Amino acid sequence: MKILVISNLYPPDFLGGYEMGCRQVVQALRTAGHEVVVLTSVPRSGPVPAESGTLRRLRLIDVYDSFSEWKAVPAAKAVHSQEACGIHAYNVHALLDVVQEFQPDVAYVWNVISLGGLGLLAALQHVGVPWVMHLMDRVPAILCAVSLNGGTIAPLAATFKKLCRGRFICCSQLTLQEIYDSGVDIFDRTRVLPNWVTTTPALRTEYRVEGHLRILFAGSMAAFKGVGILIEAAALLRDRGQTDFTVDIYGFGEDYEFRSLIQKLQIQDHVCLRGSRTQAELDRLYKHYDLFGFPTWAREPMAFAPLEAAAHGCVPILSSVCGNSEWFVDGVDCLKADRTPEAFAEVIERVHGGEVSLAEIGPRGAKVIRRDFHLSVLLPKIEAELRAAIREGGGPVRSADEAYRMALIAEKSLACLIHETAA
Amino acid sequence: MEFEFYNVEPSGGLMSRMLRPFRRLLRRIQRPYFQRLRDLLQTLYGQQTAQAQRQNDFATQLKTVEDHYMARIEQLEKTIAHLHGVVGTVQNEKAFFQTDYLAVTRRLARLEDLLIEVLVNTPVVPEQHPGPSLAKIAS
Repeated sequence: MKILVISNLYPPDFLGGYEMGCRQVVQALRTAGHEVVVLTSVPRSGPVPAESGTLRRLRLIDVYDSFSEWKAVPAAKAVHSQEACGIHAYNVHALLDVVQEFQPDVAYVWNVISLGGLGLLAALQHVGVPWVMHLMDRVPAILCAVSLNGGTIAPLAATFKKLCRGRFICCSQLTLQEIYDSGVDIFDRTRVLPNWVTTTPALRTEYRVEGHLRILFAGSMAAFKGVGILIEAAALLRDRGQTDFTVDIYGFGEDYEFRSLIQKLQIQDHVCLRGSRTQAELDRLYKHYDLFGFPTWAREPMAFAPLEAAAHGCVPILSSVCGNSEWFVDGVDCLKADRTPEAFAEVIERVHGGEVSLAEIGPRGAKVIRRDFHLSVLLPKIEAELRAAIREGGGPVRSADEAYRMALIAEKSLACLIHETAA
Repeated sequence: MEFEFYNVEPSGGLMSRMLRPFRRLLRRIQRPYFQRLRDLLQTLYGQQTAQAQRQNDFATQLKTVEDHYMARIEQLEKTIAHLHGVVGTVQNEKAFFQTDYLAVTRRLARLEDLLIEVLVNTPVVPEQHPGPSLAKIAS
């Protein structure tokens, strides 16, 4: 297959697992013999090495930066959001150029927020390219809200549903439900496939070396990921007299909030912020830890890090309701707890007290990951979705010039409308 | 309460003493009206006092009722808060079981697929295992 992958960011420029996952699938598809071209944005922070098959030609309208989020005046923010989620003619032009050059059989769309996602999808449909969108966030809902945090615009969502000819792969039922609850119904066009790991480490048998319980967290240093909850759980454990444990927190992002929490709770002896690590570095670290604490929020689509940790036999303790939880069974191949410090402390205490056997859960989890969650197992299912999209076809093929002209008109009209409304 | 205002005899000077017989005469003539007025004033005073008493009693009763209902409201608020807590716990438990249930069913489906795959790839002698073909089940 000739596959055109579209993603707002592509490593080494990335925000989180979504982009990392994209690269892993691209590599796997290439290894499987497909011709894959990646179309992404120019890197945000300095040049990156040129890579064959990766075209950094799109313009990123960054809505993830704090300036856009908190400082921009409402009208400027509205225009910015419209270009990011709605239509950005420049990116439509760049996409149509690549489609003409590469002539893909199918477009494999990832996160298209910040690229004028609706415009890109409409352009693909206009020139008759079938597409499959891989969802690891509520992308269609955000596109139909035309802003990162606003509510979905009902007529836009209804039009999206009516005109959409693409297919979707979604990493969890929870994310799919969230998209539906936002007013964008894509149930009938979606296949739920979990996220994956790409490594196959040796099975481990040894846990709690010298009786010491080692817990880690890896991910972005954000309150919604539950870093604070883990720190508070550690303080509760210490207060209950448990001392033979450590919590190491690896992550990128600002950590001053958590530094101050550690100081406030006087838990420096047990909790350590260890800074950012690459995926490869984390892969080497997981085997030295017994538990992966993951008190993430209920909106978590499905994080990669707990899967990778579980592949190494490091037992994940997950929030009882999150995307990861719907793929793993409590007490069988993972542990689950309510998203509170007390509940997490209780589960860790049970492990500490020997009530829960990590030597049983860890290897079982690792085997399940290897069997059901390895990319090599999931890739044929992804390929099947891409083939199904090709079979369905992308609809009538119309002129690329026409698509670009329409994008220009739409972009300018919407900008005028926003300015007039603001005035 | 004294209402016989007409019995008041001012202690005055010479002029007052000279007028006293006339005043007495006038008072004597008007006595029936004054006495009627006195009776009316006494009745009104009595009614007013009784009314004030009733009002006071009513206010006391009202306060008692108010206190009773405030206590009831407080109790109901506590009950509602408790029920909210219970509902929250039940919802959490429900969400937990739904999520875990989904995980279990997915795992079961996956194991079923794998089992069928293994069975299909295992040579089966038809005479020993009557029943529908496994290839058919797999398809």
